Amino acid sequence: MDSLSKKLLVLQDIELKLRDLRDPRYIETFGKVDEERIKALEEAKKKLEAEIPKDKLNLFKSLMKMHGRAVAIVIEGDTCSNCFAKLPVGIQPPGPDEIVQCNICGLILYFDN
Amino acid sequence: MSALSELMNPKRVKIGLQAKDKEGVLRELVDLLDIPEENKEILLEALKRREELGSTGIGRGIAIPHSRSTVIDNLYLVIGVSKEGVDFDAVDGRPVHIFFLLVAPPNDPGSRYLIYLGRVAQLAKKIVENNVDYLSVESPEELIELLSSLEKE
Ligand SMILES: [Zn+2]
Repeated sequence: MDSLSKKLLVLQDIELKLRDLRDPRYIETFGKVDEERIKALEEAKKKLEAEIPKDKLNLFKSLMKMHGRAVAIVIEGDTCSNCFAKLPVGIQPPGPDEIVQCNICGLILYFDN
Repeated sequence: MSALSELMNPKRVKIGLQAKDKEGVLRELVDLLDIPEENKEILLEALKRREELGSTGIGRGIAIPHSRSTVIDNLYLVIGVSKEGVDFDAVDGRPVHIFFLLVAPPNDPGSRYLIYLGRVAQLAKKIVENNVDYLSVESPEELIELLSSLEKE
């Protein structure tokens, strides 16, 4: 089972993709992607959202609304990929059902491996 | 908005791609980006997922793989040329010889990503219309010069 932060990272990816696929500039360049494939993405999004606790999903949605993104990656163990701030010394990956936010930009942090 | 050629950097151009398949060529292109190894894997996944929606091989030997990714800090264009061509499931079934990989952060001010994607598509159209001989180019610098002058036309 994926951790909560991994799920949020994937959810962000799906949302950004859906947004691009619907943008007229994108359609002009690549044509319309099959409606079926868009539906499959929307279903994947719904399924994923159902697996995320409501308060965390609300936080995700408000970050997306405010910043256009909600999840950042931790680079080299100590740096936020969104704002490049150094994270507090000794910061640890959260438990599988917990999240940690960047103390500078507020984005949800995804710790790789 | 500056020209597409301003995104072109010899460090992110490879003449003579070695890969023979879709995943291999995406990996070879991503490898030209100056980002940590583990982030390359995440980006590669995003690119492969985009290809599953439909190939970005737009035909006539050209492909424009692209994705936004959380692991990218800026808008980057990577260009690769394959003399032998790669089966990329292109719309016309032909092998792809020139790749324009465009990647961007999740949110970019002014939607530069979508605008530049449009510019890459325009450049691709010019390559086809003018029957540009990019396969005989021998260095990244030469390719950049060729594409920049084509863009200005
Ligand atoms: Zn941050």
